Parts: sequence; C-alpha cells; structure tokens
Amino acid sequence: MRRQAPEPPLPGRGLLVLAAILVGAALAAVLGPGATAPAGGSFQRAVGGLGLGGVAAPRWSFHSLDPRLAPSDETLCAPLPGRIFPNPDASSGVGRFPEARR
Amino acid sequence: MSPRIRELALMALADLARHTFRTAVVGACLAAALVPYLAGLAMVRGLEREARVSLAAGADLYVTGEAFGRTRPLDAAMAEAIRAVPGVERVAARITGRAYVGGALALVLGVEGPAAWPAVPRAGRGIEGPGEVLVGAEIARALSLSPRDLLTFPRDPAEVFTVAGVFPPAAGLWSRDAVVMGLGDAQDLFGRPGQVTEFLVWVRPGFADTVASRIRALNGIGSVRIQDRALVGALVEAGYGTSGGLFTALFWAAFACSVLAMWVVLGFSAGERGREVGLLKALGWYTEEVLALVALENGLSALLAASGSVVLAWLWVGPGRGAFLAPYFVRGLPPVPLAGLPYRFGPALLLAAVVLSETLVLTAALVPTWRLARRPPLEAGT
Repeated sequence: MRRQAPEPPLPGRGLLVLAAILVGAALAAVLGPGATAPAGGSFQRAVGGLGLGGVAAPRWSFHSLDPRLAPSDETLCAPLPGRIFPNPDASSGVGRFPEARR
Repeated sequence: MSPRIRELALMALADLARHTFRTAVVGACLAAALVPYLAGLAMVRGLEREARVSLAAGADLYVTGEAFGRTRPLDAAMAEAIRAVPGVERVAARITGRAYVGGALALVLGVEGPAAWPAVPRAGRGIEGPGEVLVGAEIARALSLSPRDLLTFPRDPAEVFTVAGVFPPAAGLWSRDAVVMGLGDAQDLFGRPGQVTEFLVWVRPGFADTVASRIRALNGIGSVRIQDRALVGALVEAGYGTSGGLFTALFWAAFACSVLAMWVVLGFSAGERGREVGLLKALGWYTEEVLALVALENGLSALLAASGSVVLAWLWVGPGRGAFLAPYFVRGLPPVPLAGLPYRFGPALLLAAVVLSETLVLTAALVPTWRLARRPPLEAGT
C-alpha cells in the first residue's frame, strides 16, 4: 500500500503564531486588570480633594496644582505681556524653583 | 470560509513570510507613529480620571481668602459661622502650603480628622497624634525616609516630626510630594496659629449658590473667593480636552509624515509587486482576486503592527513608567519618574490603532496594485 506524502508545512506559520500572540496581548492590555492604573481615591477622600491640574507639586503656582486652591496664576503679569518669572508649569523651559532656601 | 478565500489567505501569509524585510519596515513605520500616540492618549485619559476622582472625593465649595487680588489666609474660627449657614452639611478647615524639607520642596498639608487615614494605603500607620506626619513617595525617596524616622523643616528646625507612614506611589499622583500633618502642627510650622488657607464646605444638593452667597456676606470673613464643584468640573473637562486635542493634532502631523514614509517604502517594492501582479494576471487571475490577495496580505501586516503598538504603548506607560513622555503631561517630573502617571487603556484605543493602521496600509498598497492589475500582464511585470 502506498503511503500518502505528508502535507507540506504551512508557510508563514510562525507569523500566524506571532499574530495570535500579539492580538491576545493587545486585548489583555486594553481589557485586562492592568488596563487602568489604580486611582488614589482613598487619599483624595482623606484630604478632601487635592490636585486637578498639570503639576504634582506647587513649585511655582498653586493654580497649576489645583485651581480650587488658587483661582488665578500669580506668576501672570497681566496686563503686561509675559510673566514675572519663566514659570515651568506653563510650558517654560526652566524646570527649577529658584527660591532661596531657609 | 470558502476554499478560495482560504487559499488566498494562505498565499497572503506565505507572501508576508517571504518578504520579512518589507513586513518589518511597514510595521516599524506604523509603530513609530502609533506607539507615542497611544501612550500619550492613555496618560491623558488616566490623568483626567484621577482629576475626576479628586473632584468626586472633594468638597462642594472651596473658600479661600483674597486680598489685593492674591490669596490670603482665613481665620480658622470662621468655620463655626460657615457651619451655621443653612444648607451646609459639613465644614473642614485645611492648610495647603509649601516648605523645603531636606532640600526637597514639599506640599505641606494640614488636615483635620486623622481618623480617615486608616483607609489610605501606606507603609507604617496613620497619624495618631501631634508631631506625626505621613510623607509621599517622592519625598520619601529623595530623603530616604521610612516609618519612625525623624523629620525637621529648615523653616523651624526646633519642631521635630516623626514619620508615621509613607504613601506608596499608587496612593495617587498628588500624594507623591505631600507631607501630611495635623492642622495644629501645620499652623505651628508656618507660624500662623488660628489661621487656615481654605475651608472645604459640603452642602445639600442644590444649595451651592445660596450657601456661597451667604458665606460671602458673613461678618468678619473679609473678601473671599469661592470655587464650586461644577465650575471646576468644567475647567477639568476643558483642560484635559485641550491637552488631548493638542496631542492628537501633533499625532496627525506625525501620521501625515508616516503616510509619506509608507508610500516611499512601498514604492521601493513597486517593481517586485509589478512582477508578482503580472505573473498572477498571466496565470489567469482576475483583478479582484489580485486586489483581495494584496488586501489580505497588508491587512494582516497592519493588524500585526496595530496590536504590537498597543502592547508597546502599554509597556511604556505601565512597567516603563512613561519614561521621557510623562514630563510632557505633568511639568516638573523627572524624565524617569519614580512611578508612572495614571493611565487608562480601553477597547477604543485598540480600535483606533487598528483602523488607522488598516487605512494607512491599505491605501498605500491597494491604489498602486489596482493600477498595475489593470495593465496587460507583460506591461505590469516590467
């Protein structure tokens, strides 16, 4: 009895496996438990809400940290154009708070 | 699946495997545009979510003093007068200040009611009495602090605090530079006994405007500024909408460049593609079949790139802490933060990545293939 020749391997099988792995990993990244970083709800409740803005520390202006604390940016020099200092919270290139230490 | 479609899919797969360089270059071009976009958008969504948590956990009204257009402290005794305003449910006095501690600038928080602290994740314990503080993760790292260590502020070295606990980075973005202490300790530290920086007021639903008017009219409170939850909520929405919008605009500029790059890359393989199309036409393939083969091949290539981009973006903002990207969204962070920014992925981001990749790759592949497939086989192959 003649033996049937084995089926040739599927070309690109490795690519198919890679695609399955990548799609599975992508689905896990967007739907899995790690898709969202935990938020600090209990800290916020304990302090009564703190922080809304684009900075994590009030190096220059409390307004950038949380507009509830300082409704305006005190580094603004309106009606003069520009600012008193190059406030890094407002996209300036300077990143250090130059206050003299006590 | 019909046998013909299955056959075309297998041929497309074999084509992709045969042209590994072309597949890799197309994937790299797409990933270069998609990964920063997806990572940035996930961070903007995470920051917005964290801000909304802060809003939801916060008070209905924030009352701060005002003088000469600048913020001034308030008399802590006014808490009783505010509490007596009809519609007010709860009032909390708070101090938010800043002070150097060991060379690092800390956000100093003086709060009432340390009973709430057991629920907050931390290493160590909560504040149990005067002279105890809780410190944020960045301050603890900068000063190598751990529970039971002693802490002094250069502005009042005589006052020694004990570190009761350290917040982990997961306690929240705005806890990282904080030093939390009792209200009396904060007043002593800043040399302002009997004063606070703001009152947090919780009111009955629908009473915010009335209560705000009554607080402004209180005797002895002076000039105040009052922020309410609805106003700040609108600010948050507008702010993060602008931030996300600007980032999306930058992405579309990069995306337009990558379209050009993709066309150039696919142009390099036009001769090869022409020979393939010419051969298939000579073998009797219809134009639709040639287009279907090319669409399957490039569709799979785009799916690979989109999925890979989502995984890389997640690795960047998660385990990679958003290195070099986080300071774009939160000013003053080091290039490699101690912990990453809050982020939020979701099916919408994966869908956006797949749709963008498929649109880009299929447009760049199908148009030249359609032109080639309409020519006579000998002409297409040359």
